[in-house]
Amino acid sequence: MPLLAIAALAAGTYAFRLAGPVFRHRLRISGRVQHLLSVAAAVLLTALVATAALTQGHGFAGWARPAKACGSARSSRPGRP
Amino acid sequence: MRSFWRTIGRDTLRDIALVCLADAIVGASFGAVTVSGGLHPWVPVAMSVLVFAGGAQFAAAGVVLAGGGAAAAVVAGLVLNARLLPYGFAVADVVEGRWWTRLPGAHLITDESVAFALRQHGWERRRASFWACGLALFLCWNAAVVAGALMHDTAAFGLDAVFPAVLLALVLPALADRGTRNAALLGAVVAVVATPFLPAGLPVLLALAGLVLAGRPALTMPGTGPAPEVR
Repeated sequence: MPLLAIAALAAGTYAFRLAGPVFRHRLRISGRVQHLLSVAAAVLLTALVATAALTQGHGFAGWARPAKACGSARSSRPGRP
Repeated sequence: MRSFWRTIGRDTLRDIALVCLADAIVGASFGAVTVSGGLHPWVPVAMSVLVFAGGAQFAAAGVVLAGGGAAAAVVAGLVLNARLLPYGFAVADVVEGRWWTRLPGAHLITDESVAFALRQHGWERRRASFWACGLALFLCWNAAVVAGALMHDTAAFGLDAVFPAVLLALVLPALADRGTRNAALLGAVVAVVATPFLPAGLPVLLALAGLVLAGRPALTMPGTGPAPEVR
């Protein structure tokens, strides 16, 4: 992971964070957009879970990994406020 | 300083401590998994300090460790972090102030700090909870990532299963909503089917096609809290 990639991810993330405090009197985020952003996050994470658990390189990785992942996810689920 | 702690209240402080502990475990596993996956120790540490968003860090590092390009990793991380945009509007009033409080305050916007702020009544309490949670989390998260990166021998724990396990734990609460679940399932199928044919990193982005099933937002009153439960 090159430093430039980390910097780009960090800069973009910070821009998302700072937009609200800076533009809150001039902009409003519609409920529809807010919903799509949150669903997009869930879609991406689920796809990562599926590809990381089921594939290895360009092929199927077998069932041992997803089984192990489900087991440890159940026992290590982080707490939430 | 004393009144700051009193404003927050003992219950909230205890909850913040618990969240910090849970996130420290996730952070330590992030440091350990990325370093034993072959990345240099400064990579997870720099990411944690500069990006400070667990889900995106795992996603970006996961794309890279799976052999994907840096650009795909950055796009995946940014798509995940786009949800911070509405968060920023939700807590804008407690971050506001002089530029030297606004700039670091914005960096502390996370699922957790926003959830703690929105749970409180009254500007004083909202602000105190946001800053307490944000600062505590920033310290715990980064300390844990450093610790994890230093003792990175995770082979014993079944390294290949750690990534999907953490991501699954992060996303599960969000899948309670039916529209989200349908979109996520379609996206996962698309990504897995596309994996043999596309360069690593792209199938996951293609999963966003699942958004056609996203449905309408559930009826929630504005300001009642962030809808997503993904970190």
